Amino acid sequence: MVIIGEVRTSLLHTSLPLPGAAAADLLALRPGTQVRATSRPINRTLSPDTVTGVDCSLPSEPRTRSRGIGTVVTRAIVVGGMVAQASSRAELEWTDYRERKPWKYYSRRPGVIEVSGPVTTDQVLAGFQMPSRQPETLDLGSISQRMINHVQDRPQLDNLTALRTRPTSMRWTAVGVEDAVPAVRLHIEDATMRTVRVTVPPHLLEEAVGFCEDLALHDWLYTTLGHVIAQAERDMARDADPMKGLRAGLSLLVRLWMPGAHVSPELRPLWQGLEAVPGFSEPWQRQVDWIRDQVFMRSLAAVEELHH
Amino acid sequence: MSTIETPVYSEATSRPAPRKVALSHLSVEVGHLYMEDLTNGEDRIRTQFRRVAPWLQALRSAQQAEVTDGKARISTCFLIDDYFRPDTDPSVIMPQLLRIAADCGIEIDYLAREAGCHEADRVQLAEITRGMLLHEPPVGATGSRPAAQKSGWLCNGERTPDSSGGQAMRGSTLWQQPEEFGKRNHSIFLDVEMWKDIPAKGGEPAHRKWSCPFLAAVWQLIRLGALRNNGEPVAQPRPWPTDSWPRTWRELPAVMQLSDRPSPFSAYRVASILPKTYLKIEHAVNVILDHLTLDEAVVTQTAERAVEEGVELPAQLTDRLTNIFIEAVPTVRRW
Repeated sequence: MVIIGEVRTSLLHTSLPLPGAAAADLLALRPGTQVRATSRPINRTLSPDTVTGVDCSLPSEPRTRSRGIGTVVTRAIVVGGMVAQASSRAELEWTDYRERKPWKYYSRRPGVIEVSGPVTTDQVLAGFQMPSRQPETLDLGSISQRMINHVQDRPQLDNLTALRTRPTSMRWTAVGVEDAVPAVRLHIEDATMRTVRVTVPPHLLEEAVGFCEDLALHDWLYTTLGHVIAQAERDMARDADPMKGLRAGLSLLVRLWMPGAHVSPELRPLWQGLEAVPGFSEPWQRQVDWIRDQVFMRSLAAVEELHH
Repeated sequence: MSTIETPVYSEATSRPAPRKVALSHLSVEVGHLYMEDLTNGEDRIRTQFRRVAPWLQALRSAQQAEVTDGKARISTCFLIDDYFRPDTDPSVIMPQLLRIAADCGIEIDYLAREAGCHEADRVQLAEITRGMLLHEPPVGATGSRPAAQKSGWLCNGERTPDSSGGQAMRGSTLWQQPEEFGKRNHSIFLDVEMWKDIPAKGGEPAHRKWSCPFLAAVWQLIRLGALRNNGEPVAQPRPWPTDSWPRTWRELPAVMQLSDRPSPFSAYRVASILPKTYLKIEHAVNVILDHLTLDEAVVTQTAERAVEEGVELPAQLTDRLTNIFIEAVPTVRRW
């Protein structure tokens, strides 16, 4: 049992964090279908699923012939009224039947792609983890990107952002293995691309989706705060005022840091592994401290200047 | 340690569970008449109901044979064509229709309005259904580009490539065939117009005109108990006295219960006894229904209820739908 997915994460195009009701309105993308939301420990709103049909080769390494027919399920997520994510996924099921069946067969199984051809699971997993996508193969990234564009273009947003940030992509695979101890491997491909491999017992495969979305969120927060610091250092080096970016980083991003808060308890040990290597919360906290120190010292200096 | 896992924290909005609707074993649509037929004397109505009656009886027996313990729950219904012809008078049409049906031994348990398939109790049923559409991907669709769709149209395959513009200029006039996806040897290609967007004109605002097959698809979804609005049942039947009809259809509920204590309106399976003229509409209805993503929670709920009741239920919606086509009464205009 294998699920593959791709998450795009970006700053929501809004000047102020959206309250819960506004986030629900933003993600009401399908008439008559409820938006799901949790408000604690932090607001997380999920759009109804949208479904996309595909009939194409799958990425594979080494390249091997394959045909995947079925559907990809995509949802949009808003966390803390501030971060937008689009998450696409499909479960892969191998079949001996190579022809296309009547569509009602596929439309009744949203999020399942049937795979035929000589390609093996391992070849698909390896292909999907390649840094660049093989042309003319399944493209979950584009499906997610269209969803995020759709959300960011909605009229509910004022299209102003207090921070300059870059969107990130996380391509992930989750494999269900009987009696497996949950394990994760995160690989930073470049400035914006990450790949993740998750192994879990089969009954937790669905939960892996939520874990990967949570990991993508925190990886984006970590990356973005790093950019805030790098920008501040550049500003300071050329004697410009770094305070605007630092303050925005502190007020918008820091409160969103809660690794594992929305993850199934059974998969939280995966976070513990990542906290050990490469470390997430500890270096995050050091970055936050550094920013607070800068803001504090500069505020102090400003006050002292006033007194002179 | 306790063996029963209870969540420590839950929120009302995090897991919406759809509300159930009562289900019969079978819902039978006992004929269909265009408004012209309903306003053109009694003969045409009488001929159709006379032809419907034995098939209704046959469907009752067939359904009873499937139910091993107890009496099968079967209800009958009739759909009025008021979306395209709202200009007629229920107080004239309804007493006549019900009288002739009764004469032919047909009791209509529920009356529905086609306009109610567009909107019922301020819920936009057609829009909800439009949001469920899942277009079929052509071979080679990776997800890189959005599916090329003609707004308002749905087909069961790949259209003939556009030969206008550049191609034609170069003198290429070769016809390329359309293709039905998932075909058996040969294609039966169908392209259905689901709606038309009418621009604002002469004081009338822009609006969307739904096609007959699309509203008929919504009709079948309601009958199958497969539609919900934010988890709530839609177009639920309301009792209506058969001796009191208003002058306009708009004043009536979307679905009315006319008989005393009938079996539920919605059902596990639905059958429609229709004049053969509706064959192509029902083909289109099947194509539309096969291209919808249904509310998974409703699907699961219905499947579980069927198992509890010992009802065998096909996984695909259109497999729960039976059509019986009867000889059509000749139309007034013969050419």
